[in-house]
Amino acid sequence: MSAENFNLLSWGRFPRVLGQTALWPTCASDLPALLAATRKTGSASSETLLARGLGRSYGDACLNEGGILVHSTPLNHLLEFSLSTGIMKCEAGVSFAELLDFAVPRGFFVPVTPGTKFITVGGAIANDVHGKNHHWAGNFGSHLIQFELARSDGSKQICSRTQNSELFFATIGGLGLTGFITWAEFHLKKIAGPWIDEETVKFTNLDGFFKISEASEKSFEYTVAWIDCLASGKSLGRGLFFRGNHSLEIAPRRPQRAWQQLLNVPFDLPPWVLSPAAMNFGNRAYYSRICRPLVKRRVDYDPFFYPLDAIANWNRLYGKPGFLQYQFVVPFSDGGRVLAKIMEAISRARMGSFLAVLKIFGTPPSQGIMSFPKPGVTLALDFPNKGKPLLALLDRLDQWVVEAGGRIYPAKDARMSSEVFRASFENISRFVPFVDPGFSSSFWRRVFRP
Amino acid sequence: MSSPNQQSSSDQNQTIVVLGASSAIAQAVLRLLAKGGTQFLLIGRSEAKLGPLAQDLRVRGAKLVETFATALDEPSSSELILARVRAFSTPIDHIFVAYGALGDHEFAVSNQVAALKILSTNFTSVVSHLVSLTPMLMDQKAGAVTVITSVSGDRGRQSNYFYGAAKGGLSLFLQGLRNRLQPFGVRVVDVKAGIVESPMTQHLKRGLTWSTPERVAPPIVAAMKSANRAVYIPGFWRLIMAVIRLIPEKVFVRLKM
Repeated sequence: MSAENFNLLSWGRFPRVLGQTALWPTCASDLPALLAATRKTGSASSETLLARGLGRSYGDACLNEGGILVHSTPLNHLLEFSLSTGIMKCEAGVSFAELLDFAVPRGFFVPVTPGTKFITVGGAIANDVHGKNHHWAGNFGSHLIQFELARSDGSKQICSRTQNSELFFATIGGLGLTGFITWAEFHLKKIAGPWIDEETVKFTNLDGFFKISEASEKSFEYTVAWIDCLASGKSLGRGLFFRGNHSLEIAPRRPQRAWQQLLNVPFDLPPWVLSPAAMNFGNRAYYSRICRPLVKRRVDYDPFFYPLDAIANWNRLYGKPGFLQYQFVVPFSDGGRVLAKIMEAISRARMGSFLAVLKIFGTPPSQGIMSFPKPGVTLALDFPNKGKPLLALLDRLDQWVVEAGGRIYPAKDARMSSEVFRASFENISRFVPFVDPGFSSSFWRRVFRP
Repeated sequence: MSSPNQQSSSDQNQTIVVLGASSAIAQAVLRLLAKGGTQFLLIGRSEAKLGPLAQDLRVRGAKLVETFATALDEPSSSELILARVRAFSTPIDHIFVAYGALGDHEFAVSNQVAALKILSTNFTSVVSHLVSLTPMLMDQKAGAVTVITSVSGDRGRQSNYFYGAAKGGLSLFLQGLRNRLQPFGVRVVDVKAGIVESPMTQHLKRGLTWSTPERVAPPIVAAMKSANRAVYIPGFWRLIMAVIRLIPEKVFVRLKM
């Protein structure tokens, strides 16, 4: 067990917080004693703990200013796996990348995956992550059977739907505030092979998106759209709709080429590289690359699910100031109108960037008390960090989202106000009793003031 | 002159005793080896760390995994290790030594106890265990020994000469052992590793030449299967160390590597 002072960042590299101490546990059984010894009673944020996985949260949900970050990645062992049931039990520091390396050759896949495979199982639970198949499979928490939670008083509890169930549902989507997950057991799903039958459909405006989405829901397991967030007027919300299913094709994967391993952004790019003009050009080029209205391909699962993972450290493209990701969901009843209003505002402000993703959330219920997804439509965008004008824009968008009954995704958030958070997460009062007094995060201290 | 019993080149059903199994590099290597239905005897200081690793290897396909907790850095534990190895259900095909500790160099510069500890952890204890275990391989007239040493053993430099001396001495010992064991059909592999991200190096600043356990594991596995010499891993270190060894002493003494 060793401690070192190291300024750990989040994926968006904003905000940059100070005074974090990192702890590397050596093994799972040491953890309860380690947590209890580190935690001092009756103190402020300076001695609070927070588990740290691979740090892919964009904002400050994975940061703990002035506090202690306990790395989960040393706890990266698979513990049990059944080929007949597909049930996997592993330590919480195992990444989805490692899970897939193990599972795909054996004919299994993760039941739900977000847009990057470089997340830990613990992080997947703490954010109750969702993916392109939300409308069929819900969030990751729905596939969870049980896990063990270590708390700051040195105790360990096994949580499931029948045992410590309230703590179970508080920890799913609980952003690491209930304790440190040491291991978890969950279902993997059976697949025939590593290929995805993918279709790409071009659409010219937001109405087009809704039409294709509705038409694709029943027959496509995975659906998501990329949209040009700089387009406006008649072209507002134009983009490409990606839909796919696991292919029955069982041919082996093609090995990665040597040059692909070298794709890396080795240092911060100067901020002027991703200028509005460059983004606009990039968006136009990406939209135009598909000439026909419908393109069908068979692709390896890796580029289908994880296109950005191919470029190591792609977050450095945004330079030292970093970037903000803004993801929200608005319910269906007013969804189309509010969405159009928000997209118009973003387009007019000319602050958006290349990455804008739109998806319909389906009816599978979110199981965690603080889980983000609800039925409706969700939009996720990257914004280069332009300081005050950007923050003002996002505050305005927050108001529209909350008025429409929607909410902002904590895993991506770096700046929503306490009022917006409380207004949109109606179950906070049910969650708070389960927050471990020895755990905290910069996010939690920002949005929750008792 | 290799014996007809030579079986170290076969992938399947190898039996490997690992000294220092919970080290970061060892774990990455063992995960690759587990696929071949291998049998492992994992030896390390802490049963709490060995337990999950054993489970992990079984999930990945290891046919049999047993663990044994003992202080590897003490030469006196060689007897215990030998007894445990003898008690293992099948004869050992491969001895894999993967433990080590950097120690606090600056402190050791003026502290004899600390200095000697770095040497005994990284050099004398390893020699002790190998002297104890290699007669078994000689009797079998088959098998292999792989030890992870370090590029820092190639030239003594002011920032790390205790660890460097230990690893360098170990490489020399392995070279002699290789010569000695050749008539018995036993290979000796010296993995000269460059700097790798691991708990041992987590306090050091990362640089361009740094590698990860996952990156070095495949070439180490390849070397374990067939090499019988010192191997630089990653390979680019061979060139770097060749250049460093060529620097005249008059010049090198003024450097602050």
